[in-house]
Formats: sequence, structure tokens, C-alpha cells
Amino acid sequence: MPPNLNVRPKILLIIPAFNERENIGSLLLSLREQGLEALVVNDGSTDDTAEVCAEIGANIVSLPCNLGIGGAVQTGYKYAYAHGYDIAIQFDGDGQHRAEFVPALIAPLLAGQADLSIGSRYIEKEGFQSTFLRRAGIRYFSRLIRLISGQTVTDPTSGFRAVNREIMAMFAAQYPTDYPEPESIVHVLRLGGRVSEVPVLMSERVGGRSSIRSFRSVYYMIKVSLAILIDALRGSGVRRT
Amino acid sequence: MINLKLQLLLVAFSLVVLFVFVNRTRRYKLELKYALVWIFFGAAGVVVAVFPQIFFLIARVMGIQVPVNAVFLLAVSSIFLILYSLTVSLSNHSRKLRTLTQEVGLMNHKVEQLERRLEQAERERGGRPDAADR
Repeated sequence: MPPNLNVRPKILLIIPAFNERENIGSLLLSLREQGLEALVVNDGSTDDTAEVCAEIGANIVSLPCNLGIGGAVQTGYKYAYAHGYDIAIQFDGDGQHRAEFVPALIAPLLAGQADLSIGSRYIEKEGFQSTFLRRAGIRYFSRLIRLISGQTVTDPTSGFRAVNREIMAMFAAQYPTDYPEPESIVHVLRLGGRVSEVPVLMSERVGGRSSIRSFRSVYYMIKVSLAILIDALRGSGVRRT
Repeated sequence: MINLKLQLLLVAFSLVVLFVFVNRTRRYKLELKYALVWIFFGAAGVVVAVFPQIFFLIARVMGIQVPVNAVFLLAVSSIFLILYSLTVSLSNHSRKLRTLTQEVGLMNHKVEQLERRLEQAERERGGRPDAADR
């Protein structure tokens, strides 16, 4: 989609939040200061995330029950698509992602050079680099994706990513339910989308807990690997069930 | 010849399955759609238990030496098929539930926005919000 440069693009930050009361308020206020529009998707939080957001007048969609990160983010894509946003950015509510990199992240989309732009920690290898084991896992997924699609993605698990309207529509129709990041990349590549990465810095999460913890990591590796391999079997014809 | 005890056991078991699933469906506790596969295998169980020659035929065709093993093979395959049908419907339901959950969230959001806009409009009109409606 060649963007119309005469009109300022409508940009929405999608912030999936599950029990993020500690960070979400200050995050939303700082985004507002920077003039960024955000939608919080409250994924059935059991704490007062929704109240904290409502108090500062944030735009928030509350899901009646917990869907997991993929289902929450997909809600955001559906919203962004229905409300005519040109670009949707996935942005974590836990303080890992930094808003100052948003302009760099969306630059490839605005230039019409990419459909999905991923913020990568591993291009310049600066900032928070995650633990050794996680880095090993990420390298493994990076190789797997290159093997299947031929494209190098240095940070396939990065949840800091921006998409244009085409991919928004694609994600609104079909998005992996849990652990969606690597799988959605091969999904986009399979359907002919252009994926590019930009270097970003990330921070260590401020509060809350990562959804991927040690005892689940084996399950994570197996499930995401299988998801990627099965996606490769779909060919360009299978869009959704 | 197949053991008479086993034969009676099979008939009894199949009849119980048939009865339970038909009865539960009759009372609207089960959806016929999901009970169907059980009822089908229950009925098939009664038929093959009454006419055990079927097992001998199956055993011969499949090269199974002990006919009773054909009974187990059929039983396991039936269960396998039932489980498959359950996995299919579970996947369908989880997809539908996800879509519904998302729609409910988005619609709630829309309703809240409309309410807010309505309140604001009424406040701007300066009247008592309720008076206009009644």
C-alpha cells in the first residue's frame, strides 16, 4: 500500500495488558505526552488494570475473559482495521518497549518498503539483550525461519512491531492464539508480505511477569517450532479455516 | 467360538452405552451432534456382539490370529474416532469463543463510548438528562 504522504497517517499503538497495573498508567501518560494514540486491550486482568486505565481516560477494550497474548493483540488489530488506522503498532505494556523508537519502526512502512516492521534487539546488539538461554532460543527460531522462508529475521520473538493496513486485515482474520510472534512472521512471508527489521533498544521489564517462564519454555519451543513448520505446509492458498 | 461371557459382556456394555447416550439426548443433556458418534458405535457394538462371526471375518481379513483381539482393535479404533471428533469440535469451539470474546470486548467499548457521547450531548443541552426521554 503506497501511503498518501499528504495526509498524516493514523497510527495506533496496541497494548495488550494482563495484570499490568504497576506500569500501565505511567506508560500511557508518557505515550500521551509524546502524542501517540494507544489502545489498551485488557486481556481479562484480575487486578485493577482496567480501573487504572479508565482513571486517566485511556482508550481501553476489556475482554470478558483471558484469551492469551495472541487473542488480545488480534482484538487490537480488528479495532485498528475497523477504525481506519493506517498503521498499527504492537507495544508491550510492561515497559520493555520504548516509544522513542516508534518513528524508526514505522519508517519502512511509511516509505512503502515493508508491510511488517519488527523492532530488533539484535541488529546493533545494544540495550537489554535477555538471558543467554533465551538468546539461544531466539537464534534457533531465527535460523528456522530463514530455513523455511529464506529471510533473515534477527529478533523473531520481538513483540515490538508495526504493520500496514494489508497486514492488519490479514491479522484481523487470522492470528496465532498463543506465542504468536515467530509464527505470524512466517505467516506474513508465506502470503507475500514484506518483512523488515529496524534496530531498537529494549529495557528489562519493569514489573509483572513474562508470559514465558522456565518450565513452559520447552513447551514454547516445541509448539512454536511446530507452528512454523505446519505453516510452511499451508502454501499460499490456505488463508483461514 | 467367541467366549459366551465376553459376548454377553459386550452386548451389555453396548446396550448401556446406547441407553445412556440416547437417554441423555432425549433429556436435552447432550447434543445429538456429539452423541451421534457414540450412538453409532453403541449400535455397532450390539450388532457385532450378537453376530460374532463378524469378528472371525475381520480377524481373518486382517491376519489377526486370536479373534478376540479384533474386538479390542475395533474398540480402540472407535474410541480413536470419537476422540478425533471431539478434538475437531473443541478446536472449532475455541475459535468461535475467541471471536466472540473479542467481539464482546469491542462492542462493550463501543457502547461505553456511545454512552459517554450521549451524556455529554445531554449535558451540553443543559437539560436534565432524564427529562428529554420521558
